Amino acid sequence: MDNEFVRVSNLRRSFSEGDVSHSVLRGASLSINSGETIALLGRSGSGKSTLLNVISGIDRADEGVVFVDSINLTALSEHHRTLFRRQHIGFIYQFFNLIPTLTASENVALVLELNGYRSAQVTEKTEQIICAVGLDQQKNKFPDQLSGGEQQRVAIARALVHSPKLVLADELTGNLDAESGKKILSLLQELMVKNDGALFMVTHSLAVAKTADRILTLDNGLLIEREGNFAW
Amino acid sequence: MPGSLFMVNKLITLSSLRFMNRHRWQSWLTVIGVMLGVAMVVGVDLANNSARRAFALSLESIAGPTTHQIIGGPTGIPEQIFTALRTDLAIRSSLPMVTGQVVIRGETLSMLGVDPISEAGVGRHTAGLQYQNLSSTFSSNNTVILSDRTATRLNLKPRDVFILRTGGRSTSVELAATFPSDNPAATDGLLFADIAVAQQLLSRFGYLDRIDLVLDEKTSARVRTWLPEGLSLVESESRNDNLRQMSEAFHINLTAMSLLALLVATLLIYNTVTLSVLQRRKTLGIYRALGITQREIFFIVIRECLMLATIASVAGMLLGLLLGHVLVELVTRTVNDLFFNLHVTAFIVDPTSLLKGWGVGLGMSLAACSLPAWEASRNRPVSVMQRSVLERRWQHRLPKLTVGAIIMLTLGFLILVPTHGTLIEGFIALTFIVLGFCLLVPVFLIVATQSLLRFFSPWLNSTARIAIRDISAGISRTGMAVAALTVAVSVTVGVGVMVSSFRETVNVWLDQYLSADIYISTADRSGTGLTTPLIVQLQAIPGVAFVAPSRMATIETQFGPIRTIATTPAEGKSSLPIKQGVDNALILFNQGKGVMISEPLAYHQQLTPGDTITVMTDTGSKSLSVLGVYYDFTSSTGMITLPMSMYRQWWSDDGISTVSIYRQTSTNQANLLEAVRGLLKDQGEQIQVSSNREIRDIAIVVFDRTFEITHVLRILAIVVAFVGVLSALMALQLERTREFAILRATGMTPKQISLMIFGQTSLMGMLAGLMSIPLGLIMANILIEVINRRSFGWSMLHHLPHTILAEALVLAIVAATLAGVYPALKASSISPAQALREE
Repeated sequence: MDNEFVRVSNLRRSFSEGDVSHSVLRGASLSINSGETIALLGRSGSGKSTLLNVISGIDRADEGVVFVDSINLTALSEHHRTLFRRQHIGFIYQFFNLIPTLTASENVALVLELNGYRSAQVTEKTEQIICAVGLDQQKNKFPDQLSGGEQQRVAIARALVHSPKLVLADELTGNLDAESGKKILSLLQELMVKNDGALFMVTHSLAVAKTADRILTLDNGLLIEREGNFAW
Repeated sequence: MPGSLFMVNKLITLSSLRFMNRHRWQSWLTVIGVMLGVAMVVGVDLANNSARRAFALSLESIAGPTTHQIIGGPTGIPEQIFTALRTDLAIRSSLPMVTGQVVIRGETLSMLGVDPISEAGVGRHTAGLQYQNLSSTFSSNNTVILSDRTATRLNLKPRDVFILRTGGRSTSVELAATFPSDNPAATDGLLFADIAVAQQLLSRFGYLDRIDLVLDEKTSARVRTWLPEGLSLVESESRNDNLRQMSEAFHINLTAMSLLALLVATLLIYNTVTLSVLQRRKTLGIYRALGITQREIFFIVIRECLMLATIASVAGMLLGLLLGHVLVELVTRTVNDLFFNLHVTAFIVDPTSLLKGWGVGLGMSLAACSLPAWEASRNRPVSVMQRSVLERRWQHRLPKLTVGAIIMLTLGFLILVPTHGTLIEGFIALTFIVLGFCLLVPVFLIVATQSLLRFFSPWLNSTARIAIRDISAGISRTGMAVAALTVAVSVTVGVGVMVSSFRETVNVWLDQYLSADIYISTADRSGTGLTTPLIVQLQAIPGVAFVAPSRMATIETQFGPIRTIATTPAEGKSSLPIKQGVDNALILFNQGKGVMISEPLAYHQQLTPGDTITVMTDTGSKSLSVLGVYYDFTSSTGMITLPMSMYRQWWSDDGISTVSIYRQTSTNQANLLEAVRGLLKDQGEQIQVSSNREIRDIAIVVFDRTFEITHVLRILAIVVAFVGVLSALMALQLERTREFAILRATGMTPKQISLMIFGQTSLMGMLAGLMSIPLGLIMANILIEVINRRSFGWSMLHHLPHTILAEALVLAIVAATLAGVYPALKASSISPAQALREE
């Protein structure tokens, strides 16, 4: 418990479609320790992405609390949640979500600029992480000039460049072939070790989930832990 | 630092610039639209200011340090008054003046006859004209002085002898000297002469037109008491103000038209920024996910808009300078035609006009982009990445838009309720009504497209259904584009109906007003050469039933100087188109029991039949009974018509300005015209003889010329709207690239894609055209019943040309269809394989 970095309690979230209300989270609870890797499995539409969005502060729960690094995220205003996310959380998406009008290194540098790093620091840290993900030769290319795997590497670099203590990944390998997906996962794990942060990844791939310390499933709006620990 | 409110992030700015560069056409179209709007505002303002400034300078340069003026009746001020002022009252700061119009080498100039010794004594130096240095030059016979610039323009130099025409006579004069004017704009169009020379040339022997004075309050009271009946002392400033006011309504109207174009440009900005936000919804969503706050998103969008608006406004200022050069001539001509002699040869670039245009351009752009910027900031990251949410939000907003529209329309109409509101209120009301209508456009589009789909479905193929459905599916984009086109086309309808109504009214009025068969006048309107013996000769021509002389003058009234016409009633005929009057108004008028006033005078001074009007006569002030109000379009400031017998009784002026000849019914007009011209052929070229047909034709030419500037501004407004529609359609088609790729992959040919787009854009044009008709008719009604009325005091018949509604529809359809050409070409050339690739 002393090591607990994220605590989610009794989270509820529903969406309306016309007159019909659809509950995706019905009291989900979990905790994530520092340095831990959690995988979340669930069928399509089960609310996995919603849970990620709420934990990151992108979306707001109807009920329940989310603590990240002892900060009650659900009690913060939209403005302060955004600032918290900027400084402490990294997010990786299935479809990369890179800014199309910025180059690979600029996409990474953006996060540092937002966090007020000085120009020299921005350059240094960007160069470091770009090399770490193996994109030194492609750093000045725009996203539409990169392959899927390369774009995801940029996304990983962007998510980790400011050394966040919590990284959220939504279907990290969902848009990649098996070979590329394996390489990406391996890269992320390597960088997470150096980062010493917690990783919470949503996936529908059991193979990906098995690489995590713990596996949870989201079923009928509730989180259930699966048996067994799996080391790197 | 993180979370700073005005974070200007280098990479965000770079991202914005690259986006604008990648969507160059969109950015440039926005810049062009705003640039045109700003150019119109600046151009009109510069033209108006040049005209106003030229007039003010001419007044200031002549008035100098003077505080008061003594003015008299139509015949002027007897010279002895000036002498008595100096001797009896010891007022040395008094300046006699004689003025008149002269023609030199085809150009009309204002002659100022001054006493150089008095001028030098008071220290009035008209734009640097040093009277004391020129007093000997001045006093030579038939010598005049011009500014350097005027002389150069007339191709004259000192010692040149040339012909000066005035009062039906031509005289040789010598240019004694020229002077370098301090204020060329003020002295252009002025000719200076010694007062005695001017009196001789203008046939004003023994009389002055005014005496300028420099007086303190105590002395002015003394002078006021001392002045004999028939003369009055007025303050220079208030008199000049009266003159300035005459053309002010015209200037306001022009400014309003230019602002209307800028309003259309503002809709364009709103549309473009909304499109830009939609196109980058994913990027903005990523920004939010990365931790950029709502406030920061807001300022990112605002900054982008201001970047474009700054470029557009600066370019607009420069274009406005060019436009102003063109417009100043049109403005000057209209002022000359309608109000007073104005000579603008200097196009004055007032920095305030440039700054105003720049500020208005930026301000309107800021106002237009605030809502889309706010909307972009309000979206939560997760929902920004879903386009369907945006369109759904728009659909949910429709009831609010309808309520907003009803409120704005109601407000607009309520503002128009008071009959004597101000002109500015009229334009504010018009703006509310136009904006209210714009808010109804999305609702109308959805209802129209859904009705088409429901009722015409059996006859529509899939392509047509997609085209129609996409209009309402993309309402966030199509709505504003159609609204901009609707407003622009409605302006053509509104202004077109107004101009047509005006023309028709003037036609009908001319029919009544020009009741005589032949009119005789002088070119300079002085009437010199028209004498009582001539009247007798004319009466003796076979076929002449009646000869009616009339006299035009300006008399002082309680409302200031007002143009007056004294008429001789023709037996059984009246040329006054009466609007309203007391019982037997015409009979009482013919008996000399009162006066008739023109509609503008009645409107501006809120006079009705039965009221009285106080006038200054040669024997003191008199209250005259207002017997009736008549329609008159010769002057927007108002006129008084009184019987010649009354005029001769109270003003010592037996001059004749015009003569109207009525023929016997059995007489052929052409023959009579020839006979009259034959009689007058030896009188000189200044006497003009015209049939009523010829005068009517000239009047219509002047009328059409007056509205040339309106046509120019209308066309520019259409161009701005076209740019807006093009921009919106381009963005709309680009958004659907993937959809077109799917259609192509499914088997739709490029030609079918093109036809679908043309069909959609034509439909949008048609719907815009349909909406523009009621808005245009409402606009016409407001222009006729409110704007024109409050500006000029004129009321008009309503006349709807049968082609104007069809023209509006065709214009809207053609504009929208043309705007669809490039998007259709782009869409039909899509490579399906390329477009269907994932990101």
